Amino acid sequence: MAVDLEQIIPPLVRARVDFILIGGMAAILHGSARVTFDVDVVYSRTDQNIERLAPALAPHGPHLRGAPRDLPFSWDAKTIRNGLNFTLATNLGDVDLFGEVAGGETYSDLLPHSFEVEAFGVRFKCIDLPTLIRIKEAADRPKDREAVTELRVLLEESEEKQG
Amino acid sequence: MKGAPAKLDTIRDHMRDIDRTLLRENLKLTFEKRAKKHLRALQMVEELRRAGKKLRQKSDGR
Repeated sequence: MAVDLEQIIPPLVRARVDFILIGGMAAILHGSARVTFDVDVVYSRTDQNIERLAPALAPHGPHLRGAPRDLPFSWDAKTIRNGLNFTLATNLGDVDLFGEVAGGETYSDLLPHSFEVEAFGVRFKCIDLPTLIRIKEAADRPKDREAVTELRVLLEESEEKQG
Repeated sequence: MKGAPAKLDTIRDHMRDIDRTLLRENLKLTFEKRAKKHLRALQMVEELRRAGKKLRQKSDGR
């Protein structure tokens, strides 16, 4: 299923969920020409935010991606509190929720390295390019190493554009 | 730490292989248009995947 940012981001914003777009979709917003199949966000682990996050995604049938469908899984604030990072399949596409990214950084650590994007009729936070590169370098999977090369070119291009 | 400069050199080597024209075109677009362009590419990839799957099923059935 083609994951559509336009379907996933506005419900989170309207539910006042504190999150930052990271990963491949953030790379797309920075100009990447690569194709990505899921939406990655880092979310704030405050109690209030978890209480907002659970019902915001609940109508879209979140379940653990790759897990047997008969595995008991209840999507609620308690589950989020007891876990940290979730790789979910929803009826809007695949969504990865990170309480912590590679390198151990959280929402509040990354907040100063984010900027506001206006799109799809809402405003939301996206990770800045240097920090996205740093996160991908910390993850250091083969696909991250490939992505980092392109992101470094994008950083060069953006810096040249800004003079 | 010894490996770090070599790794950077490798990244710099690979950066030469990136098609900058595609990226420059993307950078001319708004954030929303970049997302929509990606969605169209993603839908095309999925269509090709479905076609490939059908083809494999057909050849397996032979």
